[in-house]
Amino acid sequence: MSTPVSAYHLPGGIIGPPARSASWRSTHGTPDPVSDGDATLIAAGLDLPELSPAALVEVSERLRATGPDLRQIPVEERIAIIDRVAARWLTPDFPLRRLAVERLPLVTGYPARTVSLALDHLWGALRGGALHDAVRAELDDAHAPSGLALHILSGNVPGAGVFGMIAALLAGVPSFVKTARREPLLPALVANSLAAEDARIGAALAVAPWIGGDPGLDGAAIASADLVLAYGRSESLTEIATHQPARLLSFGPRVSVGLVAHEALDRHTAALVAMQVALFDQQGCLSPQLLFVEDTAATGRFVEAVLGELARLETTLPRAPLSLAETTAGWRHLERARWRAQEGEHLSVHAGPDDRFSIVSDQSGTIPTSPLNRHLVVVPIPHLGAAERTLSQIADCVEAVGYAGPTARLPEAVAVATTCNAPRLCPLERMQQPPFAWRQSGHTRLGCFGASATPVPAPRTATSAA
Amino acid sequence: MSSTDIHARIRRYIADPTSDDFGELALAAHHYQYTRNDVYRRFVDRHPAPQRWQEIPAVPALAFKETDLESAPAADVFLSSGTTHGPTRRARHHVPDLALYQHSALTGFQRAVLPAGARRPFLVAAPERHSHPQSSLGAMVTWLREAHDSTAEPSLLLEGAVECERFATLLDALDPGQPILVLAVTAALLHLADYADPRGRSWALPAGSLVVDTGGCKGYAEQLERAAILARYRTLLGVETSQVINEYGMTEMCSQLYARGEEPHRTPPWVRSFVIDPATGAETPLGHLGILRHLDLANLGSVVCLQTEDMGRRTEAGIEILGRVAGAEPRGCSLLLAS
Repeated sequence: MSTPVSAYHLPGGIIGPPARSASWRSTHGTPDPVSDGDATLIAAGLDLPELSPAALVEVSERLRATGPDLRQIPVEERIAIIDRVAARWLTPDFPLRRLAVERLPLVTGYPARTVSLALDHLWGALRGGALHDAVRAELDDAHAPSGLALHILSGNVPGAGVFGMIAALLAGVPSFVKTARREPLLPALVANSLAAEDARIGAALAVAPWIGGDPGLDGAAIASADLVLAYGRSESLTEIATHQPARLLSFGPRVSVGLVAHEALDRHTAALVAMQVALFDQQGCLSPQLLFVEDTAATGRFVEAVLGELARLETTLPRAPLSLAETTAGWRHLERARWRAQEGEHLSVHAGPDDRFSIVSDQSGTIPTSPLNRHLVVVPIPHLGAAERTLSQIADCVEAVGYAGPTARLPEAVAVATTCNAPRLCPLERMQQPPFAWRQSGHTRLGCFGASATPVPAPRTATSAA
Repeated sequence: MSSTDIHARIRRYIADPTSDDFGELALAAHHYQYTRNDVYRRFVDRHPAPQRWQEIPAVPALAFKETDLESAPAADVFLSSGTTHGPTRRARHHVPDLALYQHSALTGFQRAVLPAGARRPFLVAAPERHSHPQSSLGAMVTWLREAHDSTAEPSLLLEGAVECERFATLLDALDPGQPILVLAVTAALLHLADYADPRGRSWALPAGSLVVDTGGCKGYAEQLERAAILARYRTLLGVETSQVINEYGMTEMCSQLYARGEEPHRTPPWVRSFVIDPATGAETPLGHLGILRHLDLANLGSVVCLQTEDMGRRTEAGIEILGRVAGAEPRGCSLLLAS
């Protein structure tokens, strides 16, 4: 058993010391060695709080009361505090970083190297310069902050949702952060590190997990907040909406795609593609699921090169263990593709040992799908603009377009990203390294925390577009 | 071997499992299909040629949504309900020999539920042939009624909804000395329980009665564990778990598995079921979760070995079936547009 670690941040005096919870249950009723949360979290040595609806209301009220103190700290000072914390996290021997690298693999299944890369990307984006730029771009004198933000996080990628926590602090809004059962640790460590740097900042943050979908707990937290930032599956977001939050910003399922010009069909690009597929096992909304490739005589070699790189990454960046449902989804994806190929449809299947990773090259004209977890779909196209035809069918569901090709052809990539209203166009190798100011799901990073911000309609999600 | 020979041998084997060798029959059925079904042959040719019946490649059930798989001209085509993946993609099972299907369905029922020749009143809340001509369950229910039902009470399932008031009236009028058989989709009985609970109504079926349910919670708003379903039946109908038998079947398969109470499902002798690890395609160790594969000799007309996406685990006593793999849905941001 590992040394216990608190997977929460509840500032002193808000409620009594939390106790290890034994009440977490697998939500699907069927034991599964991967997704059975209890066993995983207890094995990782996480202490979890026991929370009641009344406790959530009390936490929320006390957080709301910290707003004036938070806003008393000049924004420049808040930026400096966050920047110092970022610098600590970027130091390999920072104790909380070491703790995250040790425990997050136990919690999430991602290897330690993935966690390290996630931390580097996260905190690298939270340095003073980027924060200054965002504040200058999005906050003005008329900014009147909301009273209290509730962040309902998903656990698919370590650190997902931390940008929102930091943004709230910069906007002067205290935050209650509900972490996901799949990854309750890192947001708590982030809050602890901020609190250690400045108690006033720490007082404006509470981080705790509870099982989403509990009407009493969800209802109490949502009713107490002026703004809810909700990340997760469409079903979860729909359920959250039923509580009629004062204002809801949805960050639902979205997809990202790669776009490779024929000039870039080489081993270097293949390695970049494979890395983006392997990092986070395509679990993030910025992970490439589809790759549009300009079709030439080199396409076949390129696909094989990506497959070879995925094989190499099995050793250096192994895939997280899968649940039976995830394994079955991958199996179904490949069996269906093989069946369709057998029956003469225009697609081919390239897979690693035991189908642990694969590339389906699909020219059938249907909208291709990926079951994630290192199953990439490549769509050969005659020219970059041809991607628009497929992407126009999923317009507003695309989060990022990652481009590999000559700078001179960037306008073609811009046209593709514009077609599908993707909030982000970036170099392919930086797809999962977003800048702080990235308009995630189309929402402004800081402006959304204004009390008078215009409510943004929920963006279409991959699921809702079905 | 002629087509007549293999049909006759399988029919005989279903009636008397000592009449032949399962492995030989399975390989003969595979060969029959390989020589008559181009689609199946293309599938098999992607795999090493089977030397033993255990090596016969399992056709993924999803293929029934992509292609017509028939080893002889179909006498009937059954369609899945289409509720799992929406109405547009429904599995199509081409059945050339309805008599073999009927023989398998009746013999399986008679091994697990009522002996051949037994008749008793049925209360049915399930599809029937005349109301659901494309439903394989509807065909089976009609055959079972013809063979075992001593009354002709119309099904209580009308256009997908259970007629609770008529159901209640019929339950009120039961002769306490006459055991009956309730044959229903699980959701229908749960809906009846929802109807009865707030009205403070419940019944005690006559001693010796049986409840046969099928279909899991499909069509019901909540996913309930088997134990919870049995508890609701106990409250609703006064039946012990030993009086409740669950039928597991699928459109793509002519035979059924049955489980009494909370016991695991058991296969009839002409079916072999395995629990497979989808990551490796190998059988899982005893007690480990996997997806179910069935080798069903009664599927002579289509494909003999099927790979499903139903979740289960093998126990010493049989196969514990745990429903469809939980949505088989990815954890993260998913592209579900064309599924």
